[in-house]
Amino acid sequence: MFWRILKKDLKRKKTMNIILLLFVILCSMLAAASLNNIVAVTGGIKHFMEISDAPDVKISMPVDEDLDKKLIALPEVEKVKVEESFYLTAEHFKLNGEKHKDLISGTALISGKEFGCKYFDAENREITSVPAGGFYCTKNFLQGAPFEKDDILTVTIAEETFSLSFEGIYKTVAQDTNNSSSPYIILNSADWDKMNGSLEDSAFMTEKTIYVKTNDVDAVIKAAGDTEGISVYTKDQFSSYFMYDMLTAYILLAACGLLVAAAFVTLRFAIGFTISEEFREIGVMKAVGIQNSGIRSIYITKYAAISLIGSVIGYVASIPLSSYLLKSVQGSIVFSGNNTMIGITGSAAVIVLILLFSYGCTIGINKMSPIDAVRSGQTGERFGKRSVMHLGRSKLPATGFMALNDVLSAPKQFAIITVVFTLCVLMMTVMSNCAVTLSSDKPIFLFGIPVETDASILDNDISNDAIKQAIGEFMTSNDSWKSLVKETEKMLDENGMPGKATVTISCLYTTVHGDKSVGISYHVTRNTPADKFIYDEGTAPRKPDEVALTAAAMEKLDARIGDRIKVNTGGAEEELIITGTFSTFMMGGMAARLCEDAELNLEKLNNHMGIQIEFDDSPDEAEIGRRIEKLKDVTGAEKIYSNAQMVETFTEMSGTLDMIKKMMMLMTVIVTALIVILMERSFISKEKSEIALMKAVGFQDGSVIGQHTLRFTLAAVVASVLASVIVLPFSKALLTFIFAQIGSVSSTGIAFDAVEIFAVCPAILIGVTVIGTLLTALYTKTIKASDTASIE
Amino acid sequence: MNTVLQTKGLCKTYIVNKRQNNVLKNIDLTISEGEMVAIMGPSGSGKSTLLYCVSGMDRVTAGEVIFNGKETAKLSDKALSQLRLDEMGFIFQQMYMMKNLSVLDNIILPAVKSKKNTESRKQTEERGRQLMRRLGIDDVGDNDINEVSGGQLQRACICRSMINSPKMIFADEPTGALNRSSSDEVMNELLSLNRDGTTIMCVTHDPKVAAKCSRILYIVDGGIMGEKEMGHFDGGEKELRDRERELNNWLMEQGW
Repeated sequence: MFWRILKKDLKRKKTMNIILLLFVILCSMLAAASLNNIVAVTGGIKHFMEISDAPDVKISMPVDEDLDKKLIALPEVEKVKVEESFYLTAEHFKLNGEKHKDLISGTALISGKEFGCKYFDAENREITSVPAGGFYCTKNFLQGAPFEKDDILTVTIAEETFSLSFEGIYKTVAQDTNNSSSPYIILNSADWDKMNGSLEDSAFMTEKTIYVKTNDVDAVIKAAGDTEGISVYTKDQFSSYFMYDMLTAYILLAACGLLVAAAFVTLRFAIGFTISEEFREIGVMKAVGIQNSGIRSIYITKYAAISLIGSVIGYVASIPLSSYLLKSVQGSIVFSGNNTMIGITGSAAVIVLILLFSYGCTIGINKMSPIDAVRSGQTGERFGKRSVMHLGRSKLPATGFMALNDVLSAPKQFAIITVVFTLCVLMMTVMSNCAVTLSSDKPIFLFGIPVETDASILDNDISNDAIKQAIGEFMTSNDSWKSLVKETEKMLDENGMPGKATVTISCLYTTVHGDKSVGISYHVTRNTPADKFIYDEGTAPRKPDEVALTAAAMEKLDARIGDRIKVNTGGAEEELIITGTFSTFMMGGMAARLCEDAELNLEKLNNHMGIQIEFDDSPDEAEIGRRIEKLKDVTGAEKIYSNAQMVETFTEMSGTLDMIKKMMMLMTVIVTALIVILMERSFISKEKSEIALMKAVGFQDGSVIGQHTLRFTLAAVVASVLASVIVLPFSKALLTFIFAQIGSVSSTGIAFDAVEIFAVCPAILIGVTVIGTLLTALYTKTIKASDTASIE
Repeated sequence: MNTVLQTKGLCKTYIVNKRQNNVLKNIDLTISEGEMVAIMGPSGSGKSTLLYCVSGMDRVTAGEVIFNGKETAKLSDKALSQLRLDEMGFIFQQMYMMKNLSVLDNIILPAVKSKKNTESRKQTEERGRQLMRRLGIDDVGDNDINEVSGGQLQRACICRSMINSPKMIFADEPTGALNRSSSDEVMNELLSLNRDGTTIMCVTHDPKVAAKCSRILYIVDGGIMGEKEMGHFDGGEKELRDRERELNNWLMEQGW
């Protein structure tokens, strides 16, 4: 009998069950794909390090040092690999015969004789060797230039020309491939040897990089400590290379999270709704003596069957979706891809959740009595007053009144719908805000340059000889910045745009507090006081023995404001007092700021950010744009950016985020349409008798469809207003959270496109809602006036 | 007397599991203004189907239905809805009402919807209250529909059917879900309406209800098997008992 009731139910409520099944498929698909992405992204760098066989310590050093031989003799060292490289500047390269004008930094050409760790191509396949006459490069070498497989790179060294065929980009865990960093090219060892033989004075630097696998990092660092001119990077510093990729990945995760939340709220609503509308069956079953547990098991079994079938289909559908989502963020990282167990876990979680939902919803069955069967589910005892508005006192037309009254009479139902719609709008608007913010000047303070900067010159290749010479000498002594700043300000003056020039450099020092030891990047901005930066707590460092640290660095050091830390600046040890905290992306948040005239050991230099300009007359955005163009003409430099362009160029995220935003908009449209169809179909099913009655008393199809469409539209409009109110604080909180995952960030400003978030996105939601409801409500045409008497 | 409703060769066929089921067969019927006609017959004989077909709630398979001079089969769905809204009233066995509206709002809803109604909302509401007063339920106007008794709800349904001053009221087992005293009250209200000039067509199983009608149509297997002219009832208990007896005898003859 139990199975017969169940079979009959599945057959009789075929449409609703199919819609429910479709929704379970959607939930399962999203949950499996999102969970897979969460695991892939959060464990992404760890996974990448594992499969890359990443070194525990990477040491860059001059070629004539033999530290590698010293290290291999250490008992703590398991393995040492050595890569040899030399650096060439942009003028040595031509892409398909054209000058590579977008390249800023010197490029390291590495011999493929021995790989320091595993490298992967764009399709995540391991590169085991480089064919003769070919080359792989990191993505920042191309700088967005159109370059296809087998295109030709011409390298000119001392009037000798080498032609190399492009094999593709490569992904590496141990090299920083962000746009602001030096690119890398791997060559076949024979080709590299030939080029190296032609070098003479053409290369501005030759280098040896040692990749060390060890069980005692400190022992290796100690052993390397007194070698001249080396830079040491530990494994945990590699993660900072991928901060922008992780930023995109986390934003995608947030969007997926909203999508899954919307889908589950809807599913919970639909299950509760379908059970509550079966008051008659439940009442009859109670009347004939079936126990609560028996009745509940019918529904639980039904939803178990639907969730099982839906989850299996959803899991299968999640595989391509998950790959597609990950593909959009795997420019530099090899994510773990599709993890079968994770996907299955996601789908299984959907089954468990649906069973919990149906168990929770069926608790209401205990409260129902046989009388519900004959009193339309209403005993008159436990129902609150439903009619909120008064038709006689309202000026609304009948259809509008009915729609509004329905919404106000069932506030809980429509509140849930509104919440779901709000999540849908937020999914689009938050993505928009992320995309706009990351191509605006709002996060510029996180890049370690003064917030009052108007433009940044990142090119070394400048036609002004005095500035070019100053750039060349800039890193030779602690005073050399003065001539660079002086020459730059002179050039600005001469061209009628007086302003202040600043330069920011950083060195990597080992820092100790108590028994804690951390590698921290110390930033100094010359020609502007340190209090021109934003501090979260405390004050700016004003004396050479003062320092501001990020919250993340303080936590690692277990230090507080007022504590003293010991800094090994390369041989010497200095004691600094912590004056405050600040936020930054630099070095994954392991950063410190010193006062403007603090001395640095330039041998430990790990970054510089070009020249920053602050115009004296605070020009507007358009004027800054004009001046940047003029500066490009005057200096011959290509890489002169406004703050927004700088953020966009450094993060390289605007294109990816724009693509993700569009993808999320499309998914929102699909999800919203499915939500609307499911809910409206549920409403029609529940209100069949009322629809028939309305038709019997003379309401036309159009009025009924209008009423149904209008009430969903009302919910969509309220959701749009609600989403508009919370989108900015929500985006700010979300972006701060996401930024905090990749740097040390306690707060950030956000930028937004008002038209997009307050007009376009709400219009999409309202449009989809209106069309979806209207089309679904057409089903009410099949309900006839004469059905009034035959409806259960 | 003017004819309000006329059917010629009315047929209604349902196809159930590819099997043809002729529910109504060649029904010719004429109802004049001011009549109160009861449709009786065994279960499944087609009484309710006839009511739905002549009231335009359902489409006929063949034949003509002429209501107030308009052939309903030729009217569009929109025009039929308009006709039901402005010129017909409906009462059902189950007291169907909109759950989210108060009793008074349910009553005035058709008037608010009707384009024929030129009154202000306030005037319409007042007219609704007057109707409720007349039917003795004026104290439950602001109540929800689950807060009133079945008898009160059915009287509210009568108020709703009357709100647009229809030419004719169609009632499908109006007392079927009520106890005897509520049933009597509801029938008295319908009688009162009929006396005021409203034509009523009423499907019923109850001879006590039918005895108050002016004409009885007896349907068996989709065809009118008998017709009895009873004359208008405006007497007391004794006359009603006499009419009941007479009707029961006639029904026995029809095979009731």
